Amino acid sequence: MKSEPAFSHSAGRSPESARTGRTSRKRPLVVLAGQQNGGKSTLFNTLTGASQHIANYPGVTVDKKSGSYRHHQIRIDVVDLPGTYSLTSFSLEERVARDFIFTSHPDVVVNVVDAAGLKRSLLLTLQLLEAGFPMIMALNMIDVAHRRGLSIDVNRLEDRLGIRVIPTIGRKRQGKNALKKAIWQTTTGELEHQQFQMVYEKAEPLLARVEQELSRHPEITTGYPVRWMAVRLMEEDDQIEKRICELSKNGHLLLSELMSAKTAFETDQSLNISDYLASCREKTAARITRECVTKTRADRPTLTEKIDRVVLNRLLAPLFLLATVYLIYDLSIVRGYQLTQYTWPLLATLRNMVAGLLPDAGLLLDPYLRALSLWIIDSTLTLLNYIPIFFILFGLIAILEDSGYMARIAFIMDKLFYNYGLHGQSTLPFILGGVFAGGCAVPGVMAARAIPDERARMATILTVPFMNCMAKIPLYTLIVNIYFANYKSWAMLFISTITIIVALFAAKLLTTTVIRQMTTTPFVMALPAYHLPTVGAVLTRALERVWLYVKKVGTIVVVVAVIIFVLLQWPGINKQQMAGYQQQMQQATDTFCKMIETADPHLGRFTDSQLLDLLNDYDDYKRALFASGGGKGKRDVDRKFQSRNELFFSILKPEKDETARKISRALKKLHSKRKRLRREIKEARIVNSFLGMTGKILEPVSRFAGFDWKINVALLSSFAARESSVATLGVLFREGADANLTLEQRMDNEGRSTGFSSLNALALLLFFALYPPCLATAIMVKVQTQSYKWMLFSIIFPTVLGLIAAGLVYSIGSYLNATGIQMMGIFYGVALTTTILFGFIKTGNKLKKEKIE
Amino acid sequence: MQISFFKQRKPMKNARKQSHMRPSHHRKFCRLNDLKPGCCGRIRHHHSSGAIRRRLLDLGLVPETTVVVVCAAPLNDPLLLKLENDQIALRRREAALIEVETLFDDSVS
Ligand SMILES: Nc1nc2c(ncn2[C@@H]2O[C@H](COP(=O)(O)OP(=O)(O)OP(=O)(O)O)[C@@H](O)[C@H]2O)c(=O)[nH]1
Ligand SMILES: [Mg+2]
Repeated sequence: MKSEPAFSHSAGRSPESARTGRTSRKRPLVVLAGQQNGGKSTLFNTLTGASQHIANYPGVTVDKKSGSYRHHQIRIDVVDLPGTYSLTSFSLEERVARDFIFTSHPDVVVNVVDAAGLKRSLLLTLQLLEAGFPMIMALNMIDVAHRRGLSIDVNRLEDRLGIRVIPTIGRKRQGKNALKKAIWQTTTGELEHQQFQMVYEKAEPLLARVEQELSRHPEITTGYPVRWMAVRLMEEDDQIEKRICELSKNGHLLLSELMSAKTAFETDQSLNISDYLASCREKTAARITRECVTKTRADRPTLTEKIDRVVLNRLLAPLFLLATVYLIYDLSIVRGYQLTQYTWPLLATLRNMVAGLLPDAGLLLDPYLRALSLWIIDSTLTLLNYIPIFFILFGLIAILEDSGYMARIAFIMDKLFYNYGLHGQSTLPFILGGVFAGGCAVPGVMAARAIPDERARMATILTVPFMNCMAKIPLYTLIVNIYFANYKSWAMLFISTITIIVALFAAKLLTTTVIRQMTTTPFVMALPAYHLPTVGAVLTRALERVWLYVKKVGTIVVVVAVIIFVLLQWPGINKQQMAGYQQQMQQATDTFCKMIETADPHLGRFTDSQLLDLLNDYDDYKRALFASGGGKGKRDVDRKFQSRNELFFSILKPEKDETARKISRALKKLHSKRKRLRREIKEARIVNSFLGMTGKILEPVSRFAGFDWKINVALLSSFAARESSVATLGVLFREGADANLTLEQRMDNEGRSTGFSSLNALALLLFFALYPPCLATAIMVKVQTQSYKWMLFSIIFPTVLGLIAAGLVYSIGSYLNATGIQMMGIFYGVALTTTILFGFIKTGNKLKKEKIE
Repeated sequence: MQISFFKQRKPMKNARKQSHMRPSHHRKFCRLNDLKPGCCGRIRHHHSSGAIRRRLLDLGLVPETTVVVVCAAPLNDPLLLKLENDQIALRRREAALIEVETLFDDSVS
């Protein structure tokens, strides 16, 4: 067994400066660096067993992620970095990667390289070598290279670069052990190499001069190799420029001196130095590639190119795209919904089990523990009910990402999105948010991170919540079924497309006003080669995203459910009112007891608690029967209740005996009286609650959009979680609930008497579609934008927009005396035309670091 | 003013060196944006600056390399370029900032 080795850079490789900045560290540190989509995260997962997000889409990893593994009894830390095309500081991911490398001073840099695109990858490799850290190359995707008829001479590549080169196939975990061994040998200093250093021919004299000047200022160069810094400086790297100005007393002087040397050199040689440096690297990369890669067969179109000829064909591309989106919609939303019919009973059983463990219900008022727990469980279960849909949806999206088609969607859609200030890469956030119907804004907002363009990213984050998330669907269905029953498909089409139209409109509105000043970056994207998605990867990804959703439900929704519960309960009804209800209940119980006494004197008088038990048993029994599924299940339930309490059971399920039946009938009557009273109390409480009062206060304003206080309460509570809107409406529109009418019928009946027309319904529908993001999404907006200001904005902006839209539709509709469906058509036409016209307006672009040459 | 990196003569010399290309008698320059799908051009220099220029260079769109315009997206905007083994999507706006020398189309049948 080896004793613990000292981890140090092997002699002769690392420049002095790199070593001086190194912090003392017990465990060796390995970083994975490389270009986008090279398979860094795949290798990271292979090494550490983590499950970092992987996709066949450039720029998936946007932040560093660390993990570790054990080798020879030593724990080795591994950090997965975002993919970068170079080590400059122009984009966020480049800054993240570069800053990490230079502040942490890794013991090994594993350069993950796409073997099928070796030349391009080498451009970064050459820059990494300049950074001077001990390096290993993981020649990944060697399988793809072989498929394309490329044979790579690994030994020669090692020789040219002066570093170990390990061929790997990340997806099949091949090369894992060789890579671990090479990492180990590098950390212990067993491997000695003379790492290759770039020579920039003509520019060498200039670089030498810059290096010389810089090395006179150790305060600037600590932690960075001087050579690397000189090259970056000549490439107009403003972070280095800033560093010089900030860290050195007369930094400005030094900088202007170096810059004039640079300009003098450029005029003298009549070349652009930063282009020249890039092209030197390009030539070196090309030379190395030429020397190490041989084509085993003549050039012929790759499979990816062949597929793209069809998939990106001008006429076929839109068809493929539409078919894809339709397939996603059909498989996840339609089929997924059918699946929920099987999963719901399971959740219902769970609810009943928990309900059984809680303190029993009171006669009129339940113990708070019971009421609150059930409230939380119900809120959670409605959300969990969507799991099958999400699982399918996320699985399909994983397939899209893994195959490489997602990048093509971005390519196809870029023009359209660009006209509205968005970006080709806004596609994924929108799809996750629910383009047509069914999605969730939380993963949508999260996915917006990958958009490199700052302004488009912000516009995407702020408009994703307009999409139709799962939680909006129940209310849509409810309203469409009541008020637009004859035009169901039209109404659904309206809902699913109007949100996109409005989102584009809003994005344009924002990019021309509020966020106009933000910087934009162009759409430049390397389209990845198509890969066949693997079942394992797709399943894990789907599970991960579902888990994320469950976690959201488990935390935020529970907290919010509690808050809403409180807001709906307090201050509640006063003592007198309560006393009135209690008196009514007392009368009912008295009648029942008297009736029993006359019918069957042997039974004696029930005590209050016995009576309560009986009533609760009645509830339980009915519920159990409902869940039993008939037949044998029913008999099991009977047996259970019989053994629990023989006497009660004889009342719950009377035999032929006439008196028992009479008693049973009386119990039923008492039971429904109790149910009615309880509901009345509940409603009275909501009316007198904080939320109810707020709803009433808002009525004068909301009347412009045709909302009464009940709708206001529902909308307010839906901010917590959209699902609650339907639940709250269910409580508020309670008339007829006893007659077993559905909520649809109840709302319809009540609507007729209060004049809630299809026009009101349309206004409500519109407002709900544009309504601010739910709390979970708002929090995600905060996380992504790092600012409470934007979070607040993301709540206020849609509210105002929604109120204006709903108000206009309602007022104009009332003025014209139009029906809901007529107004729906008018609004659609107007919105569509405005948005299309809006798309033609040009937005000024403030490109990042525009310099006049 | 844009400083041209390569002197005018150079591309010419190179063109002759690469024997598989048919010799061009009159050299034509245009912007990458103006190339028809299926056409091919050699990059002369970039008129862009800052981040875009950097990114283009990083992706290998370095002066002297040959690019093929594979196709345009359905809405005519981003262009799909082929560069060695890579496919790169680029908006016309940015393509208009790249000056190329048109070459006879010899890589696309
Ligand atoms: N055929 C093949 N595919 C691979 C290999 N390694 C990774 N992939 C796939 O390549 C794609 C990109 O992998 P990632 O690990 O996400 O790449 P990354 O370097 O982390 O990308 P960014 O985070 O975007 O910089 C995924 O679809 C992987 O499944 C390999 O060796 N062979
Ligand atoms: Mg990654």
